[in-house]
Amino acid sequence: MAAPAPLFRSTDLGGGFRLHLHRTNAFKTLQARLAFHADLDDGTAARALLPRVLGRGTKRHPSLRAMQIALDTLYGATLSGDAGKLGERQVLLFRADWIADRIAGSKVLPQMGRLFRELLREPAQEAGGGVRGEVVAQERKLQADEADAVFDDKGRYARHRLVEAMCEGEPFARPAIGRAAEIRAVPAEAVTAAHRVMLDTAEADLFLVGDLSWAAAMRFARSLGFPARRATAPLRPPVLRRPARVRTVIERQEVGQGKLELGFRTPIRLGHPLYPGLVLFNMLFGGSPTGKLFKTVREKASLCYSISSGVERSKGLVLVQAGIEVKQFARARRMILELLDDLRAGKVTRQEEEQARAQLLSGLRVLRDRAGGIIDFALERQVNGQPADLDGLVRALEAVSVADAAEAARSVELDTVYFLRNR
Amino acid sequence: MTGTVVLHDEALGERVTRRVFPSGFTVYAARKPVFSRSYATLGVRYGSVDRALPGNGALLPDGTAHFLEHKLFETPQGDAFDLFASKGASANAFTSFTTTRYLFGSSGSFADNLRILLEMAFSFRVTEAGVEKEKGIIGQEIAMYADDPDWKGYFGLLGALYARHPLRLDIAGTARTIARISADLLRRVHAAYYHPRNMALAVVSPEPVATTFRIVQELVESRAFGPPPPARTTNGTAEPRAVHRKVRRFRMPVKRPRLLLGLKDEAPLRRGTELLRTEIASALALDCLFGNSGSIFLALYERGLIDENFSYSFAADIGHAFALAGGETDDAPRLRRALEREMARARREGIGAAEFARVRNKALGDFARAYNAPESIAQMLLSHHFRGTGLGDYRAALLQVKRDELNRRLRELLRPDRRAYSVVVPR
Repeated sequence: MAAPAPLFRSTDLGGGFRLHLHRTNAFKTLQARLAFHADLDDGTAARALLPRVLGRGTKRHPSLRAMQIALDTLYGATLSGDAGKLGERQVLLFRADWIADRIAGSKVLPQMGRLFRELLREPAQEAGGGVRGEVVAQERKLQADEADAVFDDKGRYARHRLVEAMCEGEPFARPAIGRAAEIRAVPAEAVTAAHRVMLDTAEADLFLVGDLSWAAAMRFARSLGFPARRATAPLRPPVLRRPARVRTVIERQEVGQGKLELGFRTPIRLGHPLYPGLVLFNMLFGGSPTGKLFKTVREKASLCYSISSGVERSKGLVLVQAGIEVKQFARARRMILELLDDLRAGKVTRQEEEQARAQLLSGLRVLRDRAGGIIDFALERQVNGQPADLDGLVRALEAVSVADAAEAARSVELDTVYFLRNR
Repeated sequence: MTGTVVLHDEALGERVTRRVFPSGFTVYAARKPVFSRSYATLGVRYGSVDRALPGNGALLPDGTAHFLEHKLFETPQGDAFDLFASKGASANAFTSFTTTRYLFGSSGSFADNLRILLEMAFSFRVTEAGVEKEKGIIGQEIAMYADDPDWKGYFGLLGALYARHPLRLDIAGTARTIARISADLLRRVHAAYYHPRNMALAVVSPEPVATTFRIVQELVESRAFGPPPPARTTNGTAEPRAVHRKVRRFRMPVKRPRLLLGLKDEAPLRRGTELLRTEIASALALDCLFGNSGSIFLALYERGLIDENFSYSFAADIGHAFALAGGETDDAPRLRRALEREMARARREGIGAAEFARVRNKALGDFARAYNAPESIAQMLLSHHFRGTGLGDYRAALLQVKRDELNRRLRELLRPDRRAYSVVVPR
């Protein structure tokens, strides 16, 4: 059997700017993602404002209205950006998605290239230069509102509070858009300065997915215009820590349902030899409706509707969430920890193992079907200095054993318990 | 009408085969070797608005359709999630006002997974113990939504728009109504509504379409069924045209207030292309107002009254039609006043030729984009089926729709006596 093609053809265009192309005719659209990397730090809030401020208008399309009309005219193309978090990195991600020329019957590609370049490099400016102060003020308020709004979604809020308590003092505790108070204090000059850093020195990856030749991809990348970039200082490695003692945080609000969050630490991250074991462990634990958490806490004990576990692959955390009746707090917590102990002891039936492995492999095999899926896969590996080796991961998960999963489970240590309950 | 038809979309290079089996079961199958995954969705024309048990007309407890959706996964071979998982598939299901849909996605083992889906849908073997256990789980699902301000605002608004129509009832019911659900009741509901004539299957897979048809023949056509349920009517409700209440307010532990505007529309009486055309004209007209380049959206955004999460939607089926628009805001009363002013302006000014061309272009692009994923192709096929239209009708209607129709829809949707609001404010 011929080896499957690598996920992306990549090249370094110099100065920390890389191009990655996945050529396919599966989609009616072309999809581009441009990621800029930074550490999560005091500059996070200002950087997160960039996609918002740049999206408000360019020299040629100076208003939101003008930008949107230009995009709508191109068969509803989209061009937007936001700030995300991968481990202890902040990633500014700009996304463009447009109908392929062969479907549109017209030349959308060069027009999108032009719009993308404008968005990145040619923002509408104050007379004296620099991004518009009024726009910064408006978007600063909206971004601070966005930070506040986490409070309103109790599931998200509980996760946010768990991470804040558990990773206090670590970069990971900071939200990808910064904290509300930080956001409100960002001056327009800081956004202008962050813009320069983004264009001139920040590590950047451009991903293209669609029916596009390598030459056309190179032309598109060059047309965005990153001529003379300087190599950047290397970003910080993530903080790895072992829990000293288990902390419990209980918060009261006027809610009906209790939100239980358990935060665990593990030294296993992407690139660690036991990483495939951790992936299998999570699937067996709470990564799917066949995992132990769902089967026992939901289906057997009828304690919840929603329960799951997930891995922060870039940081080495395992996070569990469950929505439960408030009076079941102690019982649910005990059950979750007992199920973890079962996994540490390798108590896994053959059926559980087969189901977990089949779902993991199926999930990886269909990754190529979604442009977002393969881009996220590659971007996360890029952030961790790992190759985007999908086939390697498939082989590793075919070979990984329950003993490996149990070993990974033994490395997982409880750090913080958070519970949001009624008054 | 039984038989097989191949439906083409020349412009997009897509084809779908439709076969209607003697039982009345309609199956859509598209072979898509460009994707490595298979996706299948089975839809039942049975949702939360169907409150009567066909036959004796008994009123069902609120939340029955959703409860049945949960319990369909209980099979004599064990939990269907396990059966799917053993074949590398992930499965799910959801219940809406008008349909219940089951789905799986997988790479490989397509035939096995399709068998699991059809077996589970047609041989219903629920136990009393299973039903009792599910009450705790669904009780927590209801509790989760009760703490969700957007959910509260949404059903609060439907309760303001509708005085009697079951749209005003929560799809999952309440702890009290689901307490009355028994295994026997679910069995009777299943026998009545899960009839092949009342269901449809849509499959997108790299496998040949013949595989799908063979499995359906074997697993569905071999069974005996009773009479199909009667067609849904206006649900026996004499729903007035005017809104039930102008405003409903809720206090919740939130930081950001929310305002949702509802526009109560004439209830369609028939399915088919007429309904499709109404839906398209309404969606395009609403895009001109509330879309990303819509005149109302931009006016409110630039004045800082809304944020980028402001959204809108339109829903229509026999017996109901409504539009919603709203989101988070600092000042709900001010946003409401601004919306009223902007709607009056939009009604006066109407939709211009350039605006019309733009939103239609965008809709054509969105239609092509829907082919990017097996999920959206299959769900789109089911939606057309339940409306009584096809994918080809959609493109044709989109190309035929006139600006006048949008302007007529705009004036109808924005009639001042058909508006209601729900407001969620911090405690």
